[in-house]
Order: sequence, then structure tokens, then C-alpha cells
Amino acid sequence: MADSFALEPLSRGPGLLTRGLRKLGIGKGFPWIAASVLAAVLVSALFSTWLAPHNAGGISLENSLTPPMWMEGGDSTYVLGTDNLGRDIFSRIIVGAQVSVEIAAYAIILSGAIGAMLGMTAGYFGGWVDAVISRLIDIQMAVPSIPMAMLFAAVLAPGKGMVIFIIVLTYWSWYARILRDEVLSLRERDYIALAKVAGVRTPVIFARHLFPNILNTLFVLATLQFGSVIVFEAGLSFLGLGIQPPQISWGGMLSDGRNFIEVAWWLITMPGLAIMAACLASNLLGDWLRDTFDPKLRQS
Amino acid sequence: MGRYIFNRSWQGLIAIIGALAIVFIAQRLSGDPVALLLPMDATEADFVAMRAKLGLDQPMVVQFWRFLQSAVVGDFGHSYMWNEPAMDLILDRLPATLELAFAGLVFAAALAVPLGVLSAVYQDSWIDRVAKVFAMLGQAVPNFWIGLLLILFFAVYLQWFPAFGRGTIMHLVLPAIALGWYPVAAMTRTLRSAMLEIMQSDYIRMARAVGLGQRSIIWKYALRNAAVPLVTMLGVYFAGMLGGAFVVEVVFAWPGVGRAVVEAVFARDFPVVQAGVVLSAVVFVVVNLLVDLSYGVIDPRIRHGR
Amino acid sequence: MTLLEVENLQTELHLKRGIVRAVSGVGFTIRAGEALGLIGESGSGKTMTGLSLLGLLPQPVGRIVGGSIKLDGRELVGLSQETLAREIRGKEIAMISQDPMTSLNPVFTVGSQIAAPIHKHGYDRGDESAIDLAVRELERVRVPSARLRSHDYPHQFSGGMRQRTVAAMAIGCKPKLLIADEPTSALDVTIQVQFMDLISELQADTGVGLLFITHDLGVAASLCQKIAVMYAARIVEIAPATDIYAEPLHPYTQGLLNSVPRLGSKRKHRLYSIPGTPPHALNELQGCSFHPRCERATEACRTERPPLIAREGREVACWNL
Repeated sequence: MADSFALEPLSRGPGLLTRGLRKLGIGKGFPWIAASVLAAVLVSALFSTWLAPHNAGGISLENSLTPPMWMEGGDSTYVLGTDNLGRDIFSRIIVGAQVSVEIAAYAIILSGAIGAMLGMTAGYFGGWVDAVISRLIDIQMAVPSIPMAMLFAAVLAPGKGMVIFIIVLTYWSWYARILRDEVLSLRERDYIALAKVAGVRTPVIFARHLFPNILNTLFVLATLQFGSVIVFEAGLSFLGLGIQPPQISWGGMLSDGRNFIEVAWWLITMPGLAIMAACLASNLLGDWLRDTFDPKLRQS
Repeated sequence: MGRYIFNRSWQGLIAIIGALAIVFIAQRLSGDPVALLLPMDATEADFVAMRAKLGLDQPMVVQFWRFLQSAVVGDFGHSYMWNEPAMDLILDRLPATLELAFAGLVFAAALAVPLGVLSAVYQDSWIDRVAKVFAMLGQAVPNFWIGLLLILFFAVYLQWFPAFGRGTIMHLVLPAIALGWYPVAAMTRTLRSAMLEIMQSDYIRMARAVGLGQRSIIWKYALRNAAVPLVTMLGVYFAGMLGGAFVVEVVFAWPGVGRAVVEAVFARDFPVVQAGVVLSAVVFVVVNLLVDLSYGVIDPRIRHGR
Repeated sequence: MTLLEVENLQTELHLKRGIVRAVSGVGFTIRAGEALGLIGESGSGKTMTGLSLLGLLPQPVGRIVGGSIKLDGRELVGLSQETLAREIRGKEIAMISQDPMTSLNPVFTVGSQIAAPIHKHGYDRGDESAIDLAVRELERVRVPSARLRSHDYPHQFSGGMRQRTVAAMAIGCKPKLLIADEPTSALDVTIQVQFMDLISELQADTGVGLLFITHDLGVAASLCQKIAVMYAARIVEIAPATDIYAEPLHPYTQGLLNSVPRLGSKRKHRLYSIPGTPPHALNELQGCSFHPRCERATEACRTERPPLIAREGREVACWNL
């Protein structure tokens, strides 16, 4: 890129590519597409029984391995094709959203609650309480998450509960650390000191003064986490350690589809796209939220 | 500097003990650790012996102490699937996993370094935009899915690479890409920020002011300044890839620790599971420790000061 | 013999909020071995002037949009970055800037940094290696145990030694002109004096021309033969140093000199400061830039901008002389 002193036209303002990317959520401006995708996932999760065109578990062997509708041999009733048992992929994706969202919701709420409590306690009280909790956070972060998940998968009964347990165990420390830092800075503020002097009891301080202030951080973190949790759960289900058949999960669909990879590419592509879309959308929306409401989170 | 080494090593040790504690708790969570650690066809005598070894009638602390003692010598039980000591089995498979993780790291770095540097130097140009989109996609795509797509495309359709197994370099390519995919995004971003900051610095301006050329300023000087965050990243992601390898190994039937552990979970071969998990944790901690210690070598300020 | 001739230099910064005229019609000359002090407050454009000479304006916002810079008769405006790097920077013109701590790269040894331009411009073709020559430069700037210390890193040097190192790096290739941008602002007063002595000595030894950019009138007085005062991107007065200090003509210069607290002044009056503030960088005022703050402002000052008017061997941009 040769530079010179020549006179050049000034910057032209956002070009076509930039504007397009912004709509997608890259750059400034509310990420409309990301939010819509996320909304679509949520809606699918909530209303799956009504939205799915077919019975997601309905076996129909004569329709086995139908390609997606735009391909040769495709059928317009099976928009994204069928699997080896003739089950409609599109419906299964919609129903699969339900499980993913449900697990993600529980997992995030629980890990957020536990992490927030521990983090706030550590930040507020300091001293040995902080030392112990910080140590726990360090240990949890020093241990790799997937092997740990395997460990618990080996001793606990598989299913939703186990998956939620493992996710909470992995992610609580993230909330704890960030909220601890927040509370550390909040606790120096005047209104906290005034509350203490006025004799307000600690739990009330937590509820009335601290909690509302960390709420937006919590919210941003939760959104950012959503995609990550979905991927984690999908991974466990893919390995066969998470959601067990006949319950439908995106990870499980990938695992099933793997056996037919040579003849039916859509079996692994479609569920994977769903996972990617959900994760991407939550990352973008989370980034936007963070930049708008809590820019100091950027370091993490 | 010595003090720094000591502190970090101490922290590493605590982390390993913490990991062992988690394994210990997991054993107890199942209700009956004896049943967990013995194969289906164990005899009553075996049960008695194991109970004594675990010291189940003793207080928890003593039990934990005994567990630690076994752990230190590498005794994590006997695999009933393979009929050998669990840790031996895992150690046999460790080189394969390390090879995969290393290959993944090489791939990630080979992509991230040029992308990161170029997107910083040509900030806001199309290279930068492409890199950003790439980074964004990379972080949202699960590695097992990428693995499947790679198999679909390069092994099934194009038939350029084998779809599974370990043997030649060709076998290594697809799994390495699947594994190294995720860190590329984060690495590119970190390197880009680091380079942006460095390029604005006074010392780079000084280098320009005395006539050093743009190319050597970027690749010889600025990059060297970015070495500290770069190496940190490489180390941290290498450690992270050990966990990711678990899943990628299953996708590609790669004979490493991860695959062995996953199979063991299904086969209820708990000794192998715990051996694999502990080893992963130890390697993870050690790699992170080495990364921290390497600061002293790379950044002369830390070497002399502190 | 004229070394540097700057004529009607105009530099703009294209920022998001608008175009800033950082340097507006600046002109001066420096003869070989001469020291010119460029005085002004922050934002007056003095640093940008220095950067313009080397083509080191912040990219991509800064650009020279007019005027000429001639070094030994050679026009520098319009040269590409590659040409500037290869032939001018370090070799003909060099620069020292304000903060010695940040001007040196923390991960390279002091010796290697001084050696780098020497090697780049090919001064190490003879028997001595670039490092040997670098050590010699360190010796020249009075760093004790130069050879030993050339293996040290910048953080192992004190502030004063670091600034010397920066000076050594700058003059290693024996440039004809040295631009020093507030080189003493980050130093302790005692170190400042040492550094000024070093610069004088270097000038005397090598005959290098000096453009000394500063806001500190006292420091400039001790070193420079000629002083140029800048205000709002323009030069408002140029004169030999003794003349300016004895009898400043431009109201701004007068204000500056009046603002300096003097030892031993008997009358207890408030420290004088020029009323008002400098114009906002984006606003181009009509007429003289200084008129809102000037006691002597007249109608002419408000409407028409005074050019530099020659008077008794000096130039002043004011209607009311």
C-alpha cells in the first residue's frame, strides 16, 4: 500500500459491505438478523409442537433418506429432507430447539445464580471468604472442562439433569469472577457506605443495592453464554453422553447422521447449521449488549 | 524471578490437587466407589480387597489421603476392558493426543499470525473485514461439526484425505484443522489488538523516524513486541485443545486419550476415565505453567525486574 | 548556507469530526549548524510541523496538502514513504521525541536499537560492525561503560540515559538536521540541563542543524539562535533569539514572555496569563487568529489576516506594530 502526500478523496462513509455487515451484527447498530435468529430459536422451542410440520419422532421408512426439497428426489413436504428412519429433519430441528433452549435456560440461570452469589459474596466480604472462593474459582478454571464433563458423565445417570449439572459446574466460575470484580469496585461507593452506617442488614444491601447494579452485567454475560452452552450440550449429546434418544437433540442428530455421511449430506449439515446459527446469533447479540451496556467487560 | 516461579509452581500444584479432589468427589458421588472401580465379574474377595484399599470405613480425609498416595504413583485402578493398569493405557495414548493438539496449534498459528498482523496493518481494509467475519464464524462453530463437514467435503467428496485413523501426515490434516479452528478466531483477534497498539507506540514511530522500512518494522520489530501475548495465547489454546481433542478424536477415530476416555465412559470402565481425566488435568496445568514461566524468557523486563 | 527551507507548508488532519488545519502556511529556514526554536503551546501545530518534515504524519488521517520542504535544495513533499525511509529519515533528518521511556523498544537491547539504522543505511560497510559503531555512539553521548551497557535493555537505564540513547540512535547516521520535539519535557530539571549541554556539544561537534520544538521559552533561549513562535497553526513571529527576548513584537509573544514568573520581581501582582483560550482546532477564524485575545485588536484584525511582515531583520504577523 504505497502512501504518498498526494491529495486524495476523503473517506466515503460506510460502504455497501459495511452496511451489510452491520445488519448482520458486525460493526455498530443493533444486530437485527442475530436477534431474529435468536427469536426464531426461542419461538421454536416454545411452540415446537405447533410449528413442526410433521411428527418429529414419526418413523416412516418408505420416505427414508429423502433429500432436501430443492434437490432432485426431494419432496416439498420434507423441506430439509428426512433421516434414515424417514423422520422429517426440519421438524426434528424445531423440536430439538426445545431441548437445547430448556437446558441452556436452566443451566444459565443456575450457574448465573450460583456464580453471582459466590462472586458477590467474595467481592463484598473480602478476607478469608474471598480467599477461599477465589481459590475455588482458580481451581475450577485450571481444570479442563471437557474431561471434567466426561468424569461426571461416567458416574451420573445420563439425561437433562446431568447435562445441566455439568454445565453449571463448568460455567459458574465465569460469572463468579466477573461479578466479584464488579462488586469489589461497587463496594467502595458512597451509597453502600451510607447503607452500612445506617445499619442496613447485609442481605438487604445485597438485594437492594448491589444486585440491581450488577443486573446488566449478568444479563450481558447470560446472552454471551447462551451460544456457548448450546455448543457444549450439543457436544455432549453428540458423544452420546448428554440427551439420550429417543429425545431429540441437535447433537444427537449429528451423531445419527454421521453414519450416513456418504449418502445423505443433509443429515449432518442441517442440525449443524442450527447450532451454528444459534451460537452466532447469541454471540453477536451478546457483543452488542456488552458494548452498549457494559463496555468494561471487553477484556474478558 | 525465582519468587515468581515458586508462586506459579505452587499454584499449579494446588490446581492438580484440586483436580484430584474433584475426581475423588466424583467417585463418591456414584454411591459406591467400590462397584465403580471393579469390573462386573469381580469376586467377593476383590470387593473386600478394594474396600480395604480405599479405606471406606475411615474418615473422608484419610480416604482422600490414600487416594492421593495412589495417585502420586500413578495407580488409578485397573481397566477391565483392556486388562491393564488404567494409567498405562492412557499414557500409551498420550503421544497421539499430543501430536494432534500440536498439529492443531500449528494450523491455528499458521492462519492466525498472518491474519492478525495483516488485519492490524491494513486496518479497516477488506482483509480486516474478512478476518473479522472469519473470526466470528470460527467462534460459533463447534469443532465436531467442522470435523464432520471436513470429512464430508474432503474425504467423502474430494477424497483427498482419509476420514479416520492415524498413520501418515494425511491422516493428521483434517483432525488438526477441526481442532485448530476455534482458536484461530480468538488468536487473530488478540494478535490484531496487540499489533494495533504496538503500531501506535512511540518506539515504532521512532523506528520509522530513523528510516527503518515498513516490512522490517512489522515483521521484525512489532511482531517481536507482540510475542508475549502471542506465546501466552499459543500456550493457553494448546492446553484448551487437549479438551477439544477429546471430541475431535471421536469424530476421526483418532487413537488418543480422548477417544479412550469416551469409550470407557460407555463401557463403565471408570479406572480409565479417571486416569484419562487426571492426566488431562495435569498436562493442562503443566502447559499453562510453562507458558507463564516462558514470560521471563520472552520479556526482558520480567527477567530482570519483578 | 541554507540547509532546510520550508515554504508555505500546509498540513491537514482528516478526522471523523472534520478537517483540522494543523499547519497553515508555515515557513522558515535553517542554516547548516544553526538551531531554530519552534515555540508554541499544545495544539499550536509545532509537533505536526516536525512530523511533516519527515513525512511521519499519523496515517491515514494526516497529509501535507501544500507548500514545499527543501533539504539542501531537494524537495521532500511528494516523496513516497519508501523513498523517505531509504534516503531521508535517519540519514539526512532525524528526530527525537518527548518521552524517552516509550521511544525505545522494550524487548530489544539498547545497542541493537542504535545499530539498526546504522545497518539499514549501510554505514557499517567498513571494518566495524553496526554494533561497534553503536557502542561508539553510546560513548559519544556519554553513557559510561558503553560496550557493557549496550547489551542492556531500556528499562535498565535511567531516564536521562535513555534520552541519550535516543539521541545516539538519532545521530548514528550523522544526519544533517535533527528535530527535537520537546526532548526535555519528561526529564527532571537537573537532567534537563545535562541533556541540553549534550545537544549543544553534539551540534558543535557534528555541525548538525537543529529544529528544537518546545513550549519552554527558557530552554529554547539557551540553545537556539533563532526563534519562531507558532499560534493556531501559523507562525506569528520569527526573530533572532536575543531580539525576541529583549523586545517581542507580536502580542502573543509578549503575552508568553509576560506569563513567565520572574525571580526577584518586587511587585506582588498576579501572574499574568493571556486571557481566553486558543481557537478550537476545527474553526478557522476570519482575520487574525489571535484577535479575540488581543488587547490591541482593531477592526482590521477581525477581518483580514496579517501576513508575516518583515521588520528589522525579523518577521511578525500583526497589523499593529
